[in-house]
Amino acid sequence: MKSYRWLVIAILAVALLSAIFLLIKPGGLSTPVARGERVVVIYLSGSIDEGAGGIGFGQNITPRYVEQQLEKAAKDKSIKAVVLRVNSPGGSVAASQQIASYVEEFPKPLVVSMGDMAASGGYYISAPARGIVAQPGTLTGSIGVISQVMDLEGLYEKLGIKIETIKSGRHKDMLSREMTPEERELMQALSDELYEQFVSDVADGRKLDMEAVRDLATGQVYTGTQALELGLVDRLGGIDEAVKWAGEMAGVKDPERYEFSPPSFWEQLTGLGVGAIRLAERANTPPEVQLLDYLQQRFNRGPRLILE
Amino acid sequence: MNILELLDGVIRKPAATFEKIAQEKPMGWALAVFSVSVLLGLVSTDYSELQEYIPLPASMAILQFIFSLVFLFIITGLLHLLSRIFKGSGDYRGLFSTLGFAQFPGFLVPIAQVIKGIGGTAGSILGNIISFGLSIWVLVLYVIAFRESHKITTGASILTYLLVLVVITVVVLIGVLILAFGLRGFLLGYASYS
Repeated sequence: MKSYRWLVIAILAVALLSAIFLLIKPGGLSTPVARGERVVVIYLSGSIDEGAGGIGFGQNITPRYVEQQLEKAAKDKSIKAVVLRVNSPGGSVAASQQIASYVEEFPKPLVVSMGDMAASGGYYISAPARGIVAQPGTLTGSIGVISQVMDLEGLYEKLGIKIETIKSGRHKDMLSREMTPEERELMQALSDELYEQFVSDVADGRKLDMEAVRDLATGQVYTGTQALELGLVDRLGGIDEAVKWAGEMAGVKDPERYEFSPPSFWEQLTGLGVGAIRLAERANTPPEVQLLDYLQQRFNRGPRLILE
Repeated sequence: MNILELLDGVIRKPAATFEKIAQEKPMGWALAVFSVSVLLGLVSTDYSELQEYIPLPASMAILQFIFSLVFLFIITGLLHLLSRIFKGSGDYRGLFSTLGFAQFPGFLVPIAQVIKGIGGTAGSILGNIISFGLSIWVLVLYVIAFRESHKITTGASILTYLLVLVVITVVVLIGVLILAFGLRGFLLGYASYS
């Protein structure tokens, strides 16, 4: 039988190239080709954290993720405006500030649509947007800074764990034991400074008077309706209202609502790897260590912009 | 015959090539061809619709891949056992090898998927036609592979596949019934303690 090896090699090569194309193309080939004038809705849900920015179990809002999404929206010429759907109780200070700076510097019209909650850090990242639309029942505000330090000595004693601390710098262990009055003052000063940054950024973003913001920045939570009266949001409504308004800002009469495609097959698989490693690590950790880890992460973590 | 000649034969002279494969029994190559074909099929699948239900939809692909490999071993065994009805004369290793190679047209699935994605409406129609054609091609090759491996007629080969389908359906039904009754018993037992 005369062999047609070239035919087999050609099939293998084209199949391989097609597979690589399908692997790296985000969302496979289900994504429609860019046409018309669109407003993209980007969903930001969860607590705000530096994180790894990848895809994995327990997704958070990370600066890296927001940067990637906004970059994609900035580069796509068919996208005329962006709606960030924020649903977050807040999170870490620096991550919130980083995301707020991306929102502020974004070159196209950007409107925030608040979901169930956009409190504390969730409000921080929303404040620089050109417009904020909230639902009447959205919980927002909570402008303030919180630090909680738990003294775990009693628990360690019960578990038979003795900790010996060797430190250089007398305050180095101040977040892992009972604080001295001096350290308490230091922490308060730190918290106050972060609070001032928060108030100042909200005042800048919302074009409000510093004193006015300070008056309402008591850590109090407001409903969407109350926030509208206080000038913390601009309009009441849902995502459609936000899309319509963002379109108007961009001069688009009837904008097409659009969402970015899900991660590519490869991104999803590599995300699984990270998630699986985390799960395996967790499964091998004794329960008492898991509890201690949780308590330390939950409380001994310095100042946070989060609704507690 | 080397691997390229075998693959070329599967395309152009399937009957003669499967007869050769059944004699030489290249199980390793057969497993490789089957695995790559299944993987290429999985890469071409859009899992995004599952995103609402599971965090990493593509993780389903790993389960599907493992299941496909297990299924190949099981289906080979069932075909081999049922072939006795028609006085088939081949062995398990030969049949496994031919079935693995019969999956080769699956290599073309990503190409059909790319055509579907980039060619607009016409591309979508053409891609679907190619996908359908490839499925038929693989089915035909499965029938020929079994026929040549076990020296039976085409009719007997098709009939055996249908019998395998019946056996699998019955086994799955029994499994579902056992599970359903077991669960019912568990729930009733649970309720009686409350």
